[in-house]
Amino acid sequence: MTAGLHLGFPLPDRDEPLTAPFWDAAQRHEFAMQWCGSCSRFVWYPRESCSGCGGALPEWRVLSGRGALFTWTEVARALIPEYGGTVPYTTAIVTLAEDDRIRFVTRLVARDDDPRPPILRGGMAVEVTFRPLSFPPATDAVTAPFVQPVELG
Amino acid sequence: MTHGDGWGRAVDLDDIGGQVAICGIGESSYSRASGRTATEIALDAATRAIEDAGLEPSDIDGLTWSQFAPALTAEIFHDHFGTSHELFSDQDCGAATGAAHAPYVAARAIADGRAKYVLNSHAVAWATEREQMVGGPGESYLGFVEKLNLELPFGFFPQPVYFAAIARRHMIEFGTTPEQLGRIAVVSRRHANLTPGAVMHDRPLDLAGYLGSPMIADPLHQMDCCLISDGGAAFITTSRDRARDRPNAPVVVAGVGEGTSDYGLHLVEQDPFTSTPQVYAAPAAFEMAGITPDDVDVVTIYDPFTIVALMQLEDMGFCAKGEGGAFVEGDTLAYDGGRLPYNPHGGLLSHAYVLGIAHVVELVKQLRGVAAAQVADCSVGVYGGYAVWDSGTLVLTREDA
Repeated sequence: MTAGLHLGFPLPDRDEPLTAPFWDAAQRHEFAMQWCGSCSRFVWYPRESCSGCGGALPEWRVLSGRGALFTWTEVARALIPEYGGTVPYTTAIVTLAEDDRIRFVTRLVARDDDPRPPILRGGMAVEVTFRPLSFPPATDAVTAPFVQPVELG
Repeated sequence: MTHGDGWGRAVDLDDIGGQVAICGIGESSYSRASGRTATEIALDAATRAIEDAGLEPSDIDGLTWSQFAPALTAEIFHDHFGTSHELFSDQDCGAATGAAHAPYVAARAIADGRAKYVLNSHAVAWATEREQMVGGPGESYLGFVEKLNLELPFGFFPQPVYFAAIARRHMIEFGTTPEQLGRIAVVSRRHANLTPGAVMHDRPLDLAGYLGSPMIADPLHQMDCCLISDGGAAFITTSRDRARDRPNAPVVVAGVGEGTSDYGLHLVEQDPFTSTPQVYAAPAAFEMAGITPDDVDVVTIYDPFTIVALMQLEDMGFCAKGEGGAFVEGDTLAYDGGRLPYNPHGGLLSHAYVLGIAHVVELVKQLRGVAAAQVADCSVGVYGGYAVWDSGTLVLTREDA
């Protein structure tokens, strides 16, 4: 849609240093965020330095992937052409079990063992599930941490 | 003055209440794709504002606009009107929050003798440009590495998605319903139906039509979302004394307030998630003007989505936080007898998406008593502007109020 965007957009730019560790971890099926040892807390979004103490953030730690559904929207219309092969889809914000102040943007999908569209409510328990992400008709793909309901049905 | 409680702050402003007045207004036509440029549209509006004020282009010695939509800059002004005099200028005005900021900038320039008549304008040709796939409101978010690499891959983009997520959260926290959001869309349309020149003037909408309109990003229907338009407007601010000598009744700038969110463009992180910086802007403006929300006769609110209007109604203190849904039920917002007449021109939802400049012009018309959907006995008008990271509130009053 705009000149200057990286190849594969809207897939992530795997060469972007600030966010590459997150996506590299996801390829290993790990859900990881920056950890500040001084503040003993996770830092999200990724930053050059900790928003709490200003210290460097060299360490990425794996999280449980458990959280609660903060809000969501089912997007019916492709608002940029690249989403045309994906609509309708549900994008969601999830707060994390390790720190409910952290809001993680993701996509919400049905469980493989219960493919009916999940009935959603605010605060419901969700967990990360690693799924292939692509934007058809483009065929490039990455593994991405989506979320699914913890409970069946 | 500060109203801080941790997530934002009121901007510290000098008390300019009652120092200046708006003495001229002008509008272009409002339309779908017109083939015109934003500059042509802005010049139309400016020319009409200068005429409305009974002035000549050479009388305009201050010019303000938004750096994000520089349709009428000093260079363009001189080029078009064949003038060459010194022009005070400021690029942080225009529309959205800037439409509330512009009279403040003008008051400061007028107070220290840098200008006598300051023209603020805003114009867009986004309907035309969209057909050519350039410009538009989403692009400003693509420069953020975190959004590009951690939000867009999950389909969290652009504005309709952001505000759908906020609307859903408002429903979760406060029990707000789609029908309540629909009330805002329906009253906006009714007002546009009464306003010649509104883009949706000939297109009625009832609640059933709203609920049946295509879903964009649930819970937001198409009718929760603003138009994409070509159009623009302008207004001229001067001293109270000079304004009294102009042909039209002066509309006094009684108060200005501005608030800013510490979270900037990072909507996802803002805590509280369902608030706007109006929490900080509106009380400051009301304090400067010496009014309370109960004194307001008509309000125009920046309404890119119904939920943005609903949140600002709450955050400006017209009802308690979370009670916006119940507040807008019934005829509360109707121009003819409602408790708080709201966007009588139809707003961004049904009049035109010109980013709030027409909201201020509409207030001037209301306070002059010449609006299409005229509110009876209208002497205090308030504009609420919003641009995600900041908000502005402008209080305008009749000269004799």
